[in-house]
Amino acid sequence: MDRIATHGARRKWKGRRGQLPLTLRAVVHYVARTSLAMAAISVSARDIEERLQAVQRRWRWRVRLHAGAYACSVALVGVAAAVWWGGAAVRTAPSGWLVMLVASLTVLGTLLASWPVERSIDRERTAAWIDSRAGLAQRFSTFVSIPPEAQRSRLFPVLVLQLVRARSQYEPRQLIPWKPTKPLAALGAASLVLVLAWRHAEPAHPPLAQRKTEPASNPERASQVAQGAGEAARSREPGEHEAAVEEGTETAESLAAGDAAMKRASTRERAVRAGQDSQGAGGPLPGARSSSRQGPESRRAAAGTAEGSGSGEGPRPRGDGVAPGGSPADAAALARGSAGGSSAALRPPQLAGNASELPEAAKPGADPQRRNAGPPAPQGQSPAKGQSGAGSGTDGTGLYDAAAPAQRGESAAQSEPIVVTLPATTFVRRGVEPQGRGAGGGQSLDAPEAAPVPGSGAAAPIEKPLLPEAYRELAQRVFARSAKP
Amino acid sequence: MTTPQRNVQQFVDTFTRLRAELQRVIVGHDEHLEQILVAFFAGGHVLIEGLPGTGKTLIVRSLGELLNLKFARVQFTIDLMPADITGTRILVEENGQRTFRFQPGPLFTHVLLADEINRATPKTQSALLEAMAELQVTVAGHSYPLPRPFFVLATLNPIEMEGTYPLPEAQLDRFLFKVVLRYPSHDELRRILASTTGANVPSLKPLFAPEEAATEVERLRALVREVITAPQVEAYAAALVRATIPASSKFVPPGDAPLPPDEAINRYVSFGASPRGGQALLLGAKVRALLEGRAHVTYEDIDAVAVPALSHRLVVNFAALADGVEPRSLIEGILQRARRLHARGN
Repeated sequence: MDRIATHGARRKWKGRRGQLPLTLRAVVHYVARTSLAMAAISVSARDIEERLQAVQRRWRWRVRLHAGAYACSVALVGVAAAVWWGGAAVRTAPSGWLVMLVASLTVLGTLLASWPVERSIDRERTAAWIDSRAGLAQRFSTFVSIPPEAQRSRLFPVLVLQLVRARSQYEPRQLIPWKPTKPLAALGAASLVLVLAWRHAEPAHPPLAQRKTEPASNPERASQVAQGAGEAARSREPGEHEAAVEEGTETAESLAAGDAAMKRASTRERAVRAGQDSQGAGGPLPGARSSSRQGPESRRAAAGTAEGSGSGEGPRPRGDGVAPGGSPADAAALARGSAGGSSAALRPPQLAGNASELPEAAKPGADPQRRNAGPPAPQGQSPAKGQSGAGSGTDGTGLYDAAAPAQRGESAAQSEPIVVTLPATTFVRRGVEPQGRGAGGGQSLDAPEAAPVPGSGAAAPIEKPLLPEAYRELAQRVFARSAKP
Repeated sequence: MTTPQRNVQQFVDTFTRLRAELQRVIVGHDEHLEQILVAFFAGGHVLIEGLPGTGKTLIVRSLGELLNLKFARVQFTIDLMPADITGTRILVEENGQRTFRFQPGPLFTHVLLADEINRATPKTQSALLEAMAELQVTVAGHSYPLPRPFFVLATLNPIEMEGTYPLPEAQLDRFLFKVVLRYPSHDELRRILASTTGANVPSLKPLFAPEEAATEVERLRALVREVITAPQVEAYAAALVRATIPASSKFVPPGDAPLPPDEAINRYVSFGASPRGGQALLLGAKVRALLEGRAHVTYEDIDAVAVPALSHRLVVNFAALADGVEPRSLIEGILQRARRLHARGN
């Protein structure tokens, strides 16, 4: 090393050798040789120092990379777990933002925690680490830690020279290879987990705000809901809704209308039930002979018997009396219907439509097990077909059962489908009073989260939409208008 | 090759040749021979403890011959007086005038063999203190410097304790290393018998010319002190020395120990090593570093010389004697703990 450094000085000195006296020549030779040797040593020492700093920089970047990658991986896995267990609500609800905030804080905290680690990578530690990795027998740590006065030792050039000779053993790229395989693999795996969790938590329907513009995913279910809406909003033309469904522009308005219709139907059924109760033995159902003045327990038991005994094939006969708790207008309308008037006036137009439009499982004559998952009626209480067994108020097939008499051409007096049963997948509002308590196999309003019965023709459950107050008021207004005699 | 490098290489060559020549004469004791050479180049003195007939005197005499240095031997007895070894002033008559002239004793040599030093009285033993520590002798108020290099090799006979005077701690502290010669093994004994009873007794070839031997040795000794020691290595040596002092000692500040207290040290040691022990550690480590062609001291160098440098500086109590605990095992225990801590620190 210093041989190379002093080579130029020697050559220069040889050219002037004859021009200088002996003593001066010796002095110049000594000064030039010594100073150049020291300069070479200092250059080499500076080179070693720079290499040490390069190793430090590389090590710090490695710490940052690993900390960041692993922190992001942990955060992604956490978000994935939240999405997996929290479902789609995490993505839309404020809790989703909370999860994102926690994940961000995790990443930020890990990066901040790695800061002391970076700070701990000082010169002495790095030098000791280089010694251990490169097998330098503590030369590097000695070089780094000795005080300046020790550098005046005669053997300091030997130390520097030995370090320079061993340069290849402590190349920064060799000591700290740039192979971020593990952190990147962890990051990729975490991302994959998040994607899988995201897809797992994909909602059956997009949020309400998106539903206004997106086409309905299930036109049949939308038509069912729209049927209720058509009844509620009488000003609407019968074919208008189908057109909307066909166009895929099912909107929240129709959903709100369906909601209102459901509420109205519920009220109406209560009125019917109350009327039957008031008729007492005059009702066609043996199990529905309880009086309206009876206690709620007995009334509930009777209703449960009547509702739970049906096979779901026929409409439920209505009562003729006025329900104590029902609306007088409904009672009057029901009285009109029982006097021979067509119940089609009270039914949505689709209820009297062609059975060919119905789903296969809902057609008359189809397998009852497929159409209604209700349990069989007890012995002695099973009503005649078409006369009893309204099924569950929320039974999905009940809606089509109401259309069955029209399909068969039965008279309105025999098969007045006063009770509008709602499909199991109908949007459920908490405030609605349950109709099908104890109904056989049908979906109760008390359990809106129940999954559809496979093979029953019922569609997948739809989450309860959060309707604005405006829609609620609109529904109440429509209901009030339709309830007028 | 630069001059410093050449010097280092020259040191390595000299040491290697010395060791090889000694091994031709001394069968076995390779480790002890190296320790003696390390102490010699470190500028210290060596106390050799061994049974009679184990080659103590042969080692010292061979070393003097190999280095072509002045060699003297003093057989210490109970009636040996200090003036017998330091020299004395004698009355001489020159030109009709009688004057006192200093007659140097056997101390004025390069290599001194103090055979069975524990047989002399403490007064005579103390005569060596100044010579070993300050390399000078003071007689009648006048100091006479000793020739450089000055190297004392003292031997101890551990068997005959009758009529002996154990060396005082101050005297022991002057010795850089203490080497304990064991019995030779069976194979070594066979080789000793073969080499010493035959017709061809191995002869020694001096390494240096007589006129330059002292200068060369001094140059090599000076080179040893140029070896670089990192601050952390110095701290390690200081920690080792400090660890030999029991916690109950009233001469050290409390809570100053860098190493956790050792139960064995607290139980068996009355007094630990002095700062001279630390000097011995570093100097011996520097020689070992040069031997390996390095210009710096490592932790391993310190560990290698810790036992011969510190064991004779521990003053053990009666409990250690009763339990048969030797200072060597105590030092090795300290080394094990220090290595663990050092490894954990890294």
